[in-house]
Amino acid sequence: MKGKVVTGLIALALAALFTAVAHKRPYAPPADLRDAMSDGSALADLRSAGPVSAPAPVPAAAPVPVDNQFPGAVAPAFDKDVPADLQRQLGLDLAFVGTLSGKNTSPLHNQIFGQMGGPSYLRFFSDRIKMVGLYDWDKKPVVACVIPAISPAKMWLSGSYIKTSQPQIARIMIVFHESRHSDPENENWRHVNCPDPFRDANGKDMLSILTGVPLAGKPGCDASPLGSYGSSLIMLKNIQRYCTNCTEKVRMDAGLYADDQLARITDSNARNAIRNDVYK
Amino acid sequence: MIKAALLILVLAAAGLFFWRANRPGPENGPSDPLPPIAARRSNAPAALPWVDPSKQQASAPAGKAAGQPGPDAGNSAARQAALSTVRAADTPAQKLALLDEILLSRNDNDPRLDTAFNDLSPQTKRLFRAKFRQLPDEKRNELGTVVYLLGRNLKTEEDWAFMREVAAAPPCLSLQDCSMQAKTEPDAHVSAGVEITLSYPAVMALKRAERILQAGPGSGNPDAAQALQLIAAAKNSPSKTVADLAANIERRYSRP
Ligand SMILES: [Zn+2]
Repeated sequence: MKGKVVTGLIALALAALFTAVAHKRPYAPPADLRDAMSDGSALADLRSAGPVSAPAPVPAAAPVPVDNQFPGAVAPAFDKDVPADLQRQLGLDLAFVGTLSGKNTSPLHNQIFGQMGGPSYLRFFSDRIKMVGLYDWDKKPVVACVIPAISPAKMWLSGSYIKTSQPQIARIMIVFHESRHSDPENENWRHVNCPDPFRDANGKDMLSILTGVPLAGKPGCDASPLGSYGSSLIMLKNIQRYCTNCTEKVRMDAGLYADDQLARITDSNARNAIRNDVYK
Repeated sequence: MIKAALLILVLAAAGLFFWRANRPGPENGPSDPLPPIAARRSNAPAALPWVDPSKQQASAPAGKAAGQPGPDAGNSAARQAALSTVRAADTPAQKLALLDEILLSRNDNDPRLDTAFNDLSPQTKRLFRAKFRQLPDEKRNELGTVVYLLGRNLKTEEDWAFMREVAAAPPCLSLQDCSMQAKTEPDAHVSAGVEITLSYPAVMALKRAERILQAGPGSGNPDAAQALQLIAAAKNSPSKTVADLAANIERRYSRP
């Protein structure tokens, strides 16, 4: 009898200790992600396609650092040369967008992302982007890009993603703009040439703010409300209008950057569709 | 023998208690005196349907470790930490330290941006303006955040003079180096949104003026005249983005 009591008490003690220890375990990537990272299968497409003018492929993907956890299962695999701070910032930005919740959703948002909120945004990203590589800013000043001809599931980020100072909403806009280029529809939502002349509401030529070169005739516009400009605009405008757990700054930023994108939707039907969706 | 087993059990129970006390807890109890805006944020995001709940929970500390609300932005440990900082940050130096902490986190959705910087004292505002002048020009979001917070606390002529100065400041020419324009022409679509970022501090000043004018003119809105002066200053900005935005706001809100 005494022995049974002792055994029972020890078992209880061990169970309690196990519970405490088990919950302290660090996060580990999901099994399928670990497999893809360890055998490099996630890079198979990229190797066979070969780079055109893109960064050289890196032979193996690095595991996501333990202190660099992404929300849920959205963590992509990273090439070995992607710096830890860049991985971390992308994780934090996706974690931010993953927390958002909203009281309403516009019809076009519903069509593109589903209900307004973090789960929809994380699903949109993780369904499209499985790999992240490092882009060489010195070759071309690109913050982020998807090169569908090489791998539609891979996003390239340059160091500029963390080295420049932008509102968090601006980084999210870039990430979701590029994620849209991962879709096979409409040639990966390829941009159309901006009209020539291309003028703003004040009748002035639209110029590249970086170099002062006119945008007229350059492939920097969209003719659909569902392309990269339209979809990220609709996402941001829904955040501005309906987010229930955003700071005032985030909602203000979302409105600012969304409104700025509208100029790039040059087809009048597409603009009207967006106006009816998120500006009425 | 029984005594030894009891001792182990007590130790284990103590360990379990210690773990529970230190883990990111469930939701706050009813006695948790959170400000309303933070309470709104306590709604944890809906469970991700494709994610094993244990993994979702496991990913939560990521944001916390980085000083930022992670996927579980509403977890009570993070909110308790935020609340205690707000309570402590009463002196100008403490407010500045809190501002620095938030800027360093690069988390624009920190609830303290809404709750901890209201009704700033004149001394605190002076410290924030000094902070603005110390920051490198390339810190566009940080500069704009300081202007945004000061814009929520406009009371004196000194406050408005600073906003006018920001609105009319020379433009930043590129995100990498404000003093020189980028030499390489990027993809045409790369520059989208950059206009706003380059002008971000001035745009924040203008958006505050717009917010004030939205309340309507007249004696019920004593700041309207100051807001219009700010917009007039911004119309002369060398930045096309700022000048255009100022002109658009003026068109909408100035009296005929
Ligand atoms: Zn694009």
